[in-house]
Amino acid sequence: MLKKLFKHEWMETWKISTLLLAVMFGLTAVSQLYFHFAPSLAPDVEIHVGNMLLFIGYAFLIAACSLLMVLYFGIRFYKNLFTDEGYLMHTLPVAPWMLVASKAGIATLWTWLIHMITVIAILPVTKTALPKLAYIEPYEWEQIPSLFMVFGIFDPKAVLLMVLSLLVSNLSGLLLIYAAVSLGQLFSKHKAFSSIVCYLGLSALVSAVSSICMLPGLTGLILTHADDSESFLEVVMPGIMQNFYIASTLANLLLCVVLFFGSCYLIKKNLNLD
Amino acid sequence: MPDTHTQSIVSIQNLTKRYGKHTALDNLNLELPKGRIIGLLGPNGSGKTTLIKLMNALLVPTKGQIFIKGFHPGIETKACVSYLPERTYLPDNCRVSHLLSYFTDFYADFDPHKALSMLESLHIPVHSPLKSLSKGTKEKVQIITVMSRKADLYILDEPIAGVDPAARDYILKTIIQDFREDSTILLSTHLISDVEPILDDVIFLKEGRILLQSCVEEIRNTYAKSLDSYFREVFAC
Amino acid sequence: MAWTLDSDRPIYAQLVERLKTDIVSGIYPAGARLPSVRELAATAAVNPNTMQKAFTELERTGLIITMRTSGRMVTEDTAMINQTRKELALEQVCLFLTQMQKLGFGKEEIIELLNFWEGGKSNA
Repeated sequence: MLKKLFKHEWMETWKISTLLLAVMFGLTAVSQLYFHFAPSLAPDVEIHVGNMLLFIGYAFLIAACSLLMVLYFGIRFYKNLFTDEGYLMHTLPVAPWMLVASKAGIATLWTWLIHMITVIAILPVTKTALPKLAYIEPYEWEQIPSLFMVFGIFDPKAVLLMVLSLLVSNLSGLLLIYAAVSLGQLFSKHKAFSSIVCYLGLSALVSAVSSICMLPGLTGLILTHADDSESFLEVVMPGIMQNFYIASTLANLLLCVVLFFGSCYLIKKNLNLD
Repeated sequence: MPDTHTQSIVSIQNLTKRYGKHTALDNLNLELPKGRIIGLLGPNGSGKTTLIKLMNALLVPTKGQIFIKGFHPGIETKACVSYLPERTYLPDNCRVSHLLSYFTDFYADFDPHKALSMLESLHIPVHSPLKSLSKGTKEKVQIITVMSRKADLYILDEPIAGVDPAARDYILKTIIQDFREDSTILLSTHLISDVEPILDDVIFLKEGRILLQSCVEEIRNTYAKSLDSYFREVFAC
Repeated sequence: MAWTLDSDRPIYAQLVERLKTDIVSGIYPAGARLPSVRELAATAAVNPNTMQKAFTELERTGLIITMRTSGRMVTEDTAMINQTRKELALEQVCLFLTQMQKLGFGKEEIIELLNFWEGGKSNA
């Protein structure tokens, strides 16, 4: 049954998702072409305001595509399970957890994909555009790779960890929306509005709790490495970043579990379609 | 343990549903036998929709229990109960074939050939998008799909309300023709006189309580009036 | 399409009447096969259980016979059919005479009226 739910969920969402991806590719292609043919800046021109604005515009539109994807799946969850369509979905002979899981699964797949492609698309465009935005001294160019080393981008193990971490954080982000929608429909009136309020509330709660949890870790970090200086960026930071990714992935997984079971419980016990 | 030896397909015991201070159903006790066409009648707010939602696991009781074929409403009952809600639950941007694929995939007792032949006889193209269909046609599509399942219990909430009289006749004829001795049909409607001839039994619900559960012929025998007239008398404002 | 039925009398009794009328009037002649309960119920737009009850009643009187393999058939006994025909006619006569009595017509006046009626029809 779960497989069939996945199949139907895929069939109903692939068109819009592919469209958003296509828009993103289109924007990237156009920007890449533009910045490729735009002239590099001469040493006496500090920054090119026009190109800068265009670049920011591109980045903004790309981010908007990602956001739209997330919003699309959030709204779809609400529409498919809590409006009239819910009369079809909730009378299918499947358990509530299967409904949530199939939706979370397909949604995570697409949002994760678009987030990864955002990163992959923005890097070459940035590289092409940078010299057209501001004059960069040759010595400054050499410093850029070491900046990336901080984030451990050249270590395959770290890349894998980042990708997984992105997957889990996408899942938790979506489950947060799902939990907020499930909470919102407990109210008899203004269900959509209540869902938004619940979302803000839950987000705030999650941020607060994660900040509190990070406090002892961060304090320990500062105390341990207070005396390090030169090798900090190249040696210590990647290690810290890795630990950070591992810790945040685990924390996100825990959050996912809590939100998932919370949503399922709410649907099982408190469903109230109009 | 629920008693599955009797001829009841549905057994409702002390069922109560409250929304905050409002009691929608009050300590309901009901047995629905197999092989009957039963009308669930009552004015707005009598608790009909609440009862139907509870039977379909769309609501959870405050107190009491429901047994359908010995199971609480859940996955097992959803597989053998065919429900026609009052609402159109089809999203506008999908096609009739989409709904048929849901039923084919999730309900083992669904007969797609039957559904297709009925749709054909009503000249409803299977690949047409739903937004191009009139409200009445959408209702026909829903009821054809629901009645094309070989379910043990059919729960039809206002099956003929949104359709023209000719379509009503078609729908009632379909209900009669699909009737099987081992299944039960529970029909909730306002259009009593249209539905009266096909009912075996009737349940009157008022303010969350059962006012009457009887055989339709007996009402005609005892009171020498139609069910419709008797209903008006009982529920006169 | 559906059979016209009174809404204030039990349907079952009306179905029995209608079936008897159909049999004696030749719609279902002696020995003819009857449609299934479900088909007839769908045509009449009535509950199949009620139609079944009507069939059972007619079986009890012997007007319909159930053969295990070939379904339900009208009896071959033409005497019984004629008897039923007479019974139905007498019921109508009774109703007619009761009505006429209400209007104050005696037997002689009724016969006169019938002759008048017949005469009018042959002149037309």
